[in-house]
Amino acid sequence: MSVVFLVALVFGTLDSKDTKTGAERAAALASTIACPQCSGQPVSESSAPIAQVIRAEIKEQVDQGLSDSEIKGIYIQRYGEWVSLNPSSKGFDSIVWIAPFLIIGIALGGVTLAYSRRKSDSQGIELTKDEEEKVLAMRTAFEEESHSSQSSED
Amino acid sequence: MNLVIGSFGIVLALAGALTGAVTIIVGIRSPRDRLQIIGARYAWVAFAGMCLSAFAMQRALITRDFSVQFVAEHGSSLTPPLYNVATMWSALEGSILLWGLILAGYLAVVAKKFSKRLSDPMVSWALVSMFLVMAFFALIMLGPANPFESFNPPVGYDGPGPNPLLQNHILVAFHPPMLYLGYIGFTVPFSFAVAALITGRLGEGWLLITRRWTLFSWGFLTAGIILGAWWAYDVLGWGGYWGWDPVENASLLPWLTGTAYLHSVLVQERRGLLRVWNLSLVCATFLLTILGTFITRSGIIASVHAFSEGGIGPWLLWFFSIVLFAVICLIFWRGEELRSQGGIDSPLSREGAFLANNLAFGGFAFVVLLGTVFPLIVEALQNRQISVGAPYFEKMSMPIGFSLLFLMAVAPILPWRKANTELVRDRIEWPAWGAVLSLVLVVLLGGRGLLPLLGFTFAGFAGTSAMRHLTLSARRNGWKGLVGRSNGGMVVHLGVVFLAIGLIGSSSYISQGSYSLQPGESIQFSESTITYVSSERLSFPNKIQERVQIDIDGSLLEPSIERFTASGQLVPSPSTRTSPVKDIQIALLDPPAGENKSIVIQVTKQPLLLWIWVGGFVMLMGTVLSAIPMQKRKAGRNKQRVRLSGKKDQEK
Amino acid sequence: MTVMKSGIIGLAVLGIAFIVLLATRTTQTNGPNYAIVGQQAPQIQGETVDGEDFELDEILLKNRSLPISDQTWVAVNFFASWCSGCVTEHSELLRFYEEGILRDDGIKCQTELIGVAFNDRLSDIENFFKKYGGDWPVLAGEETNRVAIDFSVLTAPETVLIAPNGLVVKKIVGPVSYDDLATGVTC
Repeated sequence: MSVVFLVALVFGTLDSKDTKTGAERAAALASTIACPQCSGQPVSESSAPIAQVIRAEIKEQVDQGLSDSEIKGIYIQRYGEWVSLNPSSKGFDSIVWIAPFLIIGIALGGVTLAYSRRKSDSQGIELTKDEEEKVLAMRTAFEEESHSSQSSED
Repeated sequence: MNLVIGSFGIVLALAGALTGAVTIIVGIRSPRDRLQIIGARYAWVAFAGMCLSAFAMQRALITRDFSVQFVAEHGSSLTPPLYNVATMWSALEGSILLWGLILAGYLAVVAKKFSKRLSDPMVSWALVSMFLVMAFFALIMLGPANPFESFNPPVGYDGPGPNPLLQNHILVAFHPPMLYLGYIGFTVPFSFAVAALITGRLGEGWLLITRRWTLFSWGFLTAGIILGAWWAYDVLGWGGYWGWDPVENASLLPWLTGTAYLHSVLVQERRGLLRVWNLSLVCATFLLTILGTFITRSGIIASVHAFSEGGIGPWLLWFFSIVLFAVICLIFWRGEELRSQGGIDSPLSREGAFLANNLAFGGFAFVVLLGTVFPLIVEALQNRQISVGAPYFEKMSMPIGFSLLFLMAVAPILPWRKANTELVRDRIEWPAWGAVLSLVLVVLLGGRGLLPLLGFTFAGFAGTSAMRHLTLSARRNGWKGLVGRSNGGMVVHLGVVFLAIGLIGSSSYISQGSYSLQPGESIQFSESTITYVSSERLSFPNKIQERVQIDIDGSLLEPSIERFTASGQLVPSPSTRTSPVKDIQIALLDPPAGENKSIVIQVTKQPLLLWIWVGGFVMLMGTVLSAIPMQKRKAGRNKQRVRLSGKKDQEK
Repeated sequence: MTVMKSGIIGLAVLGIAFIVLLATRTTQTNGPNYAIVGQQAPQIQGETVDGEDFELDEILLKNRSLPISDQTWVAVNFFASWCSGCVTEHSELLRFYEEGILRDDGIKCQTELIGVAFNDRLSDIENFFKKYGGDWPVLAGEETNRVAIDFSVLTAPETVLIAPNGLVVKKIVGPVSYDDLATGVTC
């Protein structure tokens, strides 16, 4: 089964087009540049004339061969940093990218700590292998039964 | 006249709420049961007051009574009747009025449903909490957000009507009220959580009695959010349904913590664990609704949805602060009592999965909140203006979304307490096959790209797991196997899977283009032929509509642009051709400047988009199924819940 | 103090910081962009409402061959017929157009006023001028959006003052007054 999975995944991934067409690049860029008059909407999603003009401009710039960062730079220079909807990954702004992972890491760490502390604190009664299996079988049977009557799941 | 009735209604509501709160508190402290019962009755006073005010506002709107400033600013003789009624919640003051009405309604129903238990301090304190919230909103309506300010209309005055975007789609009548029913509904479990903290009864009691309320509120909140997305899709013109706009994020935050809460309570009910989590999650949900209202209406974050900047910001912020610190103090005070007996035995267990679920949803909420307020932080610390827009949220929500799908697949399979690998391997076989087959199917149908493929795999995984549970349950219990909390929940999960399929398909494989067309001209767009057929111009009392007829592969679509006479605002009205396979939406960007002139249209193709709405619908069906009890409760049954730890269990 | 209690206190501190942050924010609008001031004016090229062609470069080119006192200052007013601020400032613009700017010795500076109407319809622009007066050249049509972008115009009205050599010396965001323009012109 895992073979099928890997084959399908790898095939599906590699078979996709590597480079985007010009139009696709322009569309992708357009979704990261804010329309200056529209309270935060990207130019790809605004029907304001200024947004239409910027979209056309971006397409031209892509055709002229400018890179993504160059194109973004043009608008940032014209209007200010806020026109880029993707916060930068350098400097102070990178906090917004890093903080979530940091927080989840801390939370996972805290949970693991609490769990291992509990494990070492508890004085478990040692069951023999047989007893363990018996308990497990009982519990499984109980689980199936309670699934069927669903009394506690109301 | 309307002014008098309306203002009186608000004062009545405030008086009722305050008197009720005070009466009950005196009753609890003295203690005098009688007072607690009488105090609860004041809920009806508050409700009557809000009904009066709402009635007065509707009457003013319907009769176009421009002596009421709200009507003068937002009403108009040109607005069609249905939209006129909805005008009440098309601007700040009326929205708060709606909030007050719904809150008072919940108050009254709580008082009624718990009428046999009014002397129970838990119920009493919960009512006090709700009364205080009610009093706050009534105060706002007497202060910064007064819907009944008077106005002196000059002769022949006619109002501008509500914002044109709120006048051209029927969902304006449903989306806000349903959203409010959701948000405000969470006030009930929140109040009981507060009551639990105050009374020290931190066990499962408060969870059990608020179960139905939580489900009800969650259902409406989900419906409200999805309807909002549908509305956006129908109206905006570039196929978008969610923009990660601050106001949208504000509505999503309580949903995230609310969903986590909905799941996490199962662990406390079953094993008494995660108590602090549950209290925190439900308090967070309530706090986030207040914060969300603050973000939406204070104007501190620019948004296309922000439609008011009254003086209401400071009030909401104060309220938020007071509630936040009250909750923190209560939790601090209770301290060690909150700690559950026992703990999670093994991460590979149902409890473990739920805990992971809490972390995932919590992480998601953190991401959304951080992204929304980060520009404010940067501005405060560095005096720069930056934006955090859709690209950030989309990138961050993807791994979390995948994790959630994974948990959805795995949690129903895991047993409580501890799983042994045999059991898990056995149960996971079908879902695993489902995952692989989904992937193969998608690849065969042409799907490409690592991330979407992973997404579809996880979706298949989760979907098959839900189907497995439902199939087993139906086999055992027939039709009854589809109702009840656990089965209904699986149906909801199935809905989420459909939703995920719709989200992945529409966002990963979207294609879009704008084209200029002469009359009769055709273009090829992604396997479809699009032809500009004809155009026409229609006049309505409140707007002029330029409509074009576009033929796409044989079917006719009629996108239009409307110019509203009172404000001069242009509002596009796109037209969509839907199928389970793909949606093609055409928006008119530039109407013809004259006879036989060209037009500019925008065409957007999004595969599988319909499944978003299907998924939403199935989620709601699942919620309803959840609420239906599986079997009638038989008296005296207490045999089932024997815990291996030997603790005394609850009797139903 | 247990871990839990210190955690709660930490949370409380974060909460206070968060609330202070929110409380100290003012209404946010994307700030007007003055980056263009001190730069060479971008190209302005288009068709006026009357069907005439207009090009800023023509004026600037002519300026080069004239003595300083005869060189033309150009005020570009970005507006729209549906914007209320534009109505407010119109009388000031009218005064600028009709009176011009006078030097201390009473000599009139050479000034030119052109309007750039964006997001607007021809008929509405014509009605606007019929109602409020004035007949200076007004650019309208597709190209105006490009001009607006080049000058970093965010909302209507905004007015830009261009010196005879093409340098943008002043940008006024919001309704402009006669004095705003008068203090910028030196000839």
